[in-house]
Amino acid sequence: MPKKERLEAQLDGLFAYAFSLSRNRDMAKDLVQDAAERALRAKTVPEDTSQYRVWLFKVLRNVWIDNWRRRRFEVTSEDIPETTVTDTRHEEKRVIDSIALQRAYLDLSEDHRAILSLVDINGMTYEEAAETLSIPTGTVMSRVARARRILCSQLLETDNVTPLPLSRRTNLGTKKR
Amino acid sequence: MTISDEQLNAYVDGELGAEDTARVAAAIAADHDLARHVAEISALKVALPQIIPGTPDINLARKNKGESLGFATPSFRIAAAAAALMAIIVTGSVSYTMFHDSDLFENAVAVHDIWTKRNTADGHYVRSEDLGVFAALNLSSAGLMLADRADLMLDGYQAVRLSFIGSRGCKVSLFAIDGIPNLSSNHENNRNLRSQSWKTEVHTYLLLGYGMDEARFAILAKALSQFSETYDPFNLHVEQRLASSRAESAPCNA
Repeated sequence: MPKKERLEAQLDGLFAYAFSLSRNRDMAKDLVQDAAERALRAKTVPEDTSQYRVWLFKVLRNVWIDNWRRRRFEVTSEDIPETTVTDTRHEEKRVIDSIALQRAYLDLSEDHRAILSLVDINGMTYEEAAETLSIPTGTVMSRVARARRILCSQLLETDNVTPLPLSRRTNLGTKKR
Repeated sequence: MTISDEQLNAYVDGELGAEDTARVAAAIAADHDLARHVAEISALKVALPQIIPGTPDINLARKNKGESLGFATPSFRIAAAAAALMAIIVTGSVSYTMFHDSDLFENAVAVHDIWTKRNTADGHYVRSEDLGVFAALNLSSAGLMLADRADLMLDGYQAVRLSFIGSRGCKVSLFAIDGIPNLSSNHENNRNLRSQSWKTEVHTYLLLGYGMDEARFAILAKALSQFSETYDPFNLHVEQRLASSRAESAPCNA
């Protein structure tokens, strides 16, 4: 597949990751643009699709660290999509206020946004996420769990939202039978 | 049996081996709280992708050479200088042309106009760390002091504006544009406006100003185009030419 077409197939995922890092739509677009240009200039790229994706996300992360991180924007109302997410995957219909979820997500630390972007939004395996972020797989595992735990607790603290049926257990980590 | 939160999340993510998956599944089946927590994690996992705004149009053909003009970090300064040097190696020299194109040019003029109408003598402080590749740019021999710096978008291109003010009323703006757009303009109807542009392989530069003596403006543009090749300070010869051209010209507001 030509270089450009390979890249185009990854743009949605790259944008989602860029938005997670920058928390701003315009900045995310520029970030993807810069990363795409850097990727297109590369003389060699991984042949394997999974490795190529990991490599692309690493390129974007490097661009973010090199050029953009200091110029992050505040989240503005235009970044909040006016949609409601309906999840019918489980027996009980769950309605999640996507605005509250987005705010809670964007309030997470950069590390936590990044890991959830890679695993939940881009569907990476822990191994791929670990390679993208240059951290051990075990760290991915603990970071994913911690990020979701914080996200859940922030949603619980939001009053004006139809909540997820979250339990208020203080220790989610250990259950004894 | 103890199931950690990490294991529970890994179970939802399909990251456990067969044995652990079976163990966690058995635990979930026997524990309502555990099952509910798995449902919560799954719900989050499903909902998260929905909060990302739709991907805007990314034009991969817009610019495929050169770095962003972020200028924020030393590493970028090195990269930009290397890119400029590479351009010289490849092309032999920067192309240096009079400039005439439409929207981008008009936008740049508008930005320059807005700046000139502001109180540009209010001592706007430009931090040296924000200058990036332009840190060594000093136009004091031309009687011009750096008064303002701004990041902006010009017709979809990332750009940096450096604006200078002179003691005799001259105000000029140098636009460093990240990319190589086709430029043209129809500004001949404003004979008072001076403009000159040049390109390296990766960037386009545009110098704008009103009322400056044409010969002085040309010397200034030439000096800046040479600077954009290496980002090195002017040599003594260039400094002398800038100083003499200022001395020999009338004030911009004359």
